[in-house]
Amino acid sequence: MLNWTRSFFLRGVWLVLLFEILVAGAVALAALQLAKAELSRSDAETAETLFEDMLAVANVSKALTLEDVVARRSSSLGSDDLFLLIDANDRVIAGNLARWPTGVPASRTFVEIEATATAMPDSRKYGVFAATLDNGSQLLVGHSLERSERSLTSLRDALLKAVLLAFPLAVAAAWLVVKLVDSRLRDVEDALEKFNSDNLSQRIELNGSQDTFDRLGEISNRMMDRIAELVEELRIVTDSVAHDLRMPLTRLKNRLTEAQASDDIAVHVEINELATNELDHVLSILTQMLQIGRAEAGIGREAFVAVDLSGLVHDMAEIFGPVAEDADRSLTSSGAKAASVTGQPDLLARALSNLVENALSYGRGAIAVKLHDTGDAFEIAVEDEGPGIPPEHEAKALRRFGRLDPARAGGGSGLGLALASAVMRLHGGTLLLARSKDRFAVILRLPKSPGNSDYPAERA
Amino acid sequence: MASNKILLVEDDQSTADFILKGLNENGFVVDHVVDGRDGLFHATDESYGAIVLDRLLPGMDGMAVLAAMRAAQVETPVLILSALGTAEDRVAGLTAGSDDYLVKPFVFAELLARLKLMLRKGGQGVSEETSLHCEDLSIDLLRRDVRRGDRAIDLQPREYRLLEYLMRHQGIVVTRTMLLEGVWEYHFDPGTNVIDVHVSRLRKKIDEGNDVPLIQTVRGAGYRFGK
Repeated sequence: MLNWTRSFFLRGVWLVLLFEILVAGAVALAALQLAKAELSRSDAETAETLFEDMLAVANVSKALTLEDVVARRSSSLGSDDLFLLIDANDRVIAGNLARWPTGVPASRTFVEIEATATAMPDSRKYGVFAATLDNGSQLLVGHSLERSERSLTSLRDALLKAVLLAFPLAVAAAWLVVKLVDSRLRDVEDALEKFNSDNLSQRIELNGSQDTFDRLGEISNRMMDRIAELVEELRIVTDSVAHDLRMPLTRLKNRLTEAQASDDIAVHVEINELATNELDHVLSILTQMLQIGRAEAGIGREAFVAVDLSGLVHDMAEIFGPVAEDADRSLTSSGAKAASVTGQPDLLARALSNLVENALSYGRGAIAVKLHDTGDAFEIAVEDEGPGIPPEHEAKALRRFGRLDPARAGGGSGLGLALASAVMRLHGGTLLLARSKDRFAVILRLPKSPGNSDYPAERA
Repeated sequence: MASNKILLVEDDQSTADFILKGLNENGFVVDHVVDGRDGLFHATDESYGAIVLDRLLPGMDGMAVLAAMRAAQVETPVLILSALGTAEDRVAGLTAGSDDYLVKPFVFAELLARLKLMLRKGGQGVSEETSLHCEDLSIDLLRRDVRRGDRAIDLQPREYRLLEYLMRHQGIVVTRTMLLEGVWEYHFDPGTNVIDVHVSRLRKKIDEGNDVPLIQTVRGAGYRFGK
């Protein structure tokens, strides 16, 4: 059940709404301030113009003195302007104001005051402009701010209405945005929901936009790929472990039961030896499985050192040479001098020895271990003259814990190639199979710079 | 003057019993302690020929014990037992001053062989030998000359090193992994009978036509050089 108050849904709507209201409010406020400033400036201009106008009229006119002009203007019908002329002794000479209002300096500055004109019933707001004239008298001219106030009020009302009208729109917009996000996430949600052990093929459909949701889908898909892979491997591993360990352990049990039934000490000794061999086999399988697991997990890279591959090839040929000779086969090594990579020498030796052992056990004819320098990588090829792994079985043979039936039937753990492959991945390299008409080669390919790795680097 | 007194520092009772029983049967006197602090205390006594030290211990970790011992100038050879079996753990153990490193679970014969080897080394000290002898077999280390009686034996370089290794460890059991380590300097478990093939070739050259075979196979363990 959705917890509304804590859900992204409500919070998202609130957030978008709040944001929209704030923006609308800010715009309205700014518009109002702007209008206010503009009106105030225009009022000041009007007052000043009025002032200058009166002085000009009085100056130009031969018949009228300033006193006359003031008296005439202030008594003109319907005038909502303010006029006052006082002499140097503060006596009122003319005007529609009973006395000089407080707070108005005669310094040619614009101030807003509240005053009551003689003909008016109540006080009003005026923008006034006053100055001291040459003869010491002072003239005050005021312009009613009524009209400005009115237009400001109507502007404010209009803006308020606009904001109020925007509110439901904002709600709708917020809802829509949240809904859109929700529906995009719903796809991911559904796919992840359906992805389980019974359905590992479920993936999220991508629209190719590379936006956040697409990327989320892509990452989730990659994660599901990896999980599916791991689950599949786990199945194979479990099956293999069960199979590979049960066989020798069952044989072991049978032998021991056999021994229990016998009183002959010679039988006991013989069975003891067989049982020991059987256990060695089990232990070696377990060790190899652990090594594969560790290599696959990328453990051990921190202990990499410089390894001379030519020395390694030479040593392996020397170690296995006599074994090959005993089997009437030849084992030769050749290749590049000074081939140094960074790696784990014992694991690399193990990987190479596994390939040589495979060639000895399952291959035919002469075995050649060749080291090549391909420019950006070193390749160690173990070749023999046998038919090799049939093409249709290659994928199976290279898979972790994948093995072929002949290997299973024989004495080997059947993990040799899988371990070599895991060791290659650990070193950022690959294990390749190659065949020509009469030769089969398994190749260990090690990049010279470990950066060229096709192994997914562990993310911190 | 290698002491046959061994200090065993191991907290797991069943492993300890197994080692105690085996070592006692082989004529060693074993002192057993169960934690690192006691181990360090006993080790400073310096009366031991060798110390078998578990890596994971309560109280004081095996590696810490080893470091403290070496810091206190105790040079008794130490064999580390560890469940941490990877190559890098092994390298870390060896660089920290241990003389050998054995991964649990191990076969007792392997432990015994390695202990004896350590005791041998500890007793020998550093001496520059110019030749090795056993019965009528001799190696001239300077001229790389091998003779059995009055017969000169021609050996491949690796066969020569194998023989040299075996002769330097006369009378004690060397396991196949010890040979791979000692002669080829690789540490992995050779799956097939690789080592056996090398030894049997050497044996052919050394022992064929002689009444006294010098390379003995020890069932379930490895080889022993000597009469």
